[in-house]
Amino acid sequence: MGGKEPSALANYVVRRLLEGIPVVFAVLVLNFLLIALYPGDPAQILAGQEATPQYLQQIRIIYGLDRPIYERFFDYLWAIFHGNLGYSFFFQEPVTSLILQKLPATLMLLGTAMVIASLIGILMGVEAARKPHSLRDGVVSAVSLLGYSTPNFWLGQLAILLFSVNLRWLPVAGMTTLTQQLGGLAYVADVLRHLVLPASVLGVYQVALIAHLQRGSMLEVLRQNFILALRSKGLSERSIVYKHALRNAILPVLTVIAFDISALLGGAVLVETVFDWPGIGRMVFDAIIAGDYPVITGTFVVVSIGVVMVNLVTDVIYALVDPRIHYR
Amino acid sequence: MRATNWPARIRQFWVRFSKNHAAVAGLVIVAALVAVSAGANLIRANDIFNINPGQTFESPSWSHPFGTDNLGRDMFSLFLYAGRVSFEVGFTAAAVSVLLGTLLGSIAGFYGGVVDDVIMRFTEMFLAIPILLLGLTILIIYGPGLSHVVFVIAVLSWPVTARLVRAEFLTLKEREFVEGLRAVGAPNHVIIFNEIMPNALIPVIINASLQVGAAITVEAGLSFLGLGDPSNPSWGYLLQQAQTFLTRAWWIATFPGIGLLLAILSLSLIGDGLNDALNPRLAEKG
Repeated sequence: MGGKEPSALANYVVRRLLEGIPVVFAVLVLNFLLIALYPGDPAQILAGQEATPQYLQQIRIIYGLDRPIYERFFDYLWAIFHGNLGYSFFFQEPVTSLILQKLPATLMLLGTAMVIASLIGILMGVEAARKPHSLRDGVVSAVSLLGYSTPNFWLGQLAILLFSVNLRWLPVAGMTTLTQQLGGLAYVADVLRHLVLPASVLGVYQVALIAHLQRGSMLEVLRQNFILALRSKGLSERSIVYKHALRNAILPVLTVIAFDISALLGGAVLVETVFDWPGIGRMVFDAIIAGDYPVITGTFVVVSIGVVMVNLVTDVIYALVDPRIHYR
Repeated sequence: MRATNWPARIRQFWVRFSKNHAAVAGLVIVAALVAVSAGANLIRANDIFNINPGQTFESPSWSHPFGTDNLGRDMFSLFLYAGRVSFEVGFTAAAVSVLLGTLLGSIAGFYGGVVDDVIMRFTEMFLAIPILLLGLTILIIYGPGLSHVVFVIAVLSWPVTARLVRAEFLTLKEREFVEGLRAVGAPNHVIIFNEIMPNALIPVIINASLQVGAAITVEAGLSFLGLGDPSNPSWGYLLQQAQTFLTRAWWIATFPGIGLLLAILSLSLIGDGLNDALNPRLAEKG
């Protein structure tokens, strides 16, 4: 924190939070316009493709589709601020409670993928930067290029073919073994066995990205004078790299990891679909197939706001941790 | 700024580009994939919608190098046609997105002030929103179909280019030659399009090949989620079809994925090569 004025920091945090408001508002407007500007019958979108004429009429009255657009917009905002995102005819449940129900599985998948990928990616990046243009560096570059270029859902299919179908090491899909009633530790172990493949597959792109960034950031730090000073003091290379250099080189990488959450979420939709993982992504896929619009627009709103929040929190934490940051 | 000898410049470009062997390999692979996809009709005249109930789930053989699917269709023919769709969407969407980004980025960078603020706020917003989710929301409301997919990808991916172009314009507009043009009363549109733009295009060109790869990836993802066009199957669409038969026929999922991987990987290598050739100052790595 080193001698920062608390008021300057508080100002920065408040300003950053205020900057988030227009983005959230824009998401809400965008979502509203997507439905409102639909050339057909918006009631059809809100109610879903399989709605009965009676239900459609009910929707028109509830949403006041005959009224002017600005009145409808305020009603829509009102509903969203009260946590009402509509009703899913396919899942037969309010969208809000549906999302809350599916969220833990997605967070578990994202969290696991992110932690594993960060550890592996940072390690790979550091090791590559220690000996630039060596064989080790080349391998890291090749692996990250490959990881960057492989569509994760296809990688998931290959992983299922290899580890589940051929080798029979891991389950093909789902989060639990449905045929068995497991309790306690056996249940946890069962979930973990189901988690291994989807989390690894989801993490591959992140490993590629993180390794690449960490390599660049580490190379820059290793060129600085204080590293030379530490070397001349006779510190071991391992201690210089992992204790002193990494502390300086890791921060920009961690920020990018946090900012890349929206790409990771997109990836999770695909990976959950491949592995039938019962989270938000699989729910979205089921909703697409069923033409269940409220689930999709509701998820878009919730996830976008979530991403904006995560980005804000990252910025604030970054400001707290890094004494060099300028409060713009 | 205009004294250019194009043939010499192109030769110089190629000399630098060809030093990057991986980039040349990438170029060869993309060219080969585009060529076989474009010539799908000549290579495989089989109608891809030709259903053969007697030949379902045949593993790869001489007559069906990539096997057959659940309807007995030849997967090699499907692979070629689907590659054409993937590339068409990739190149068109990237072209539209680069044009849009270049236009908005140059306006923001050149005029600055409120115009810049408004455009950059939009850019940041689009960068913060989960693109795949917005894309599928639009497609589910307005219906799938190739032109919609191209539109969605283009509209969602312009911010990257806009940022690059804006940054170039911010530095270029302060240069002496722009001051000079202003002094002699050259109109803004001439300064923007004829004078600054050609100098700002290098990062755009380098980025464009990555944009094509990104567009192909997003299209594959959207198709995989069931938003593809069944009458114009792409590689992603084939992978969606393969999901159902994954445990039964490995070849249905394997080959379209290899196509995707090769295309995206090669486009990324070409981007590296373009960077080396056009940005010689930055080419020294490490």
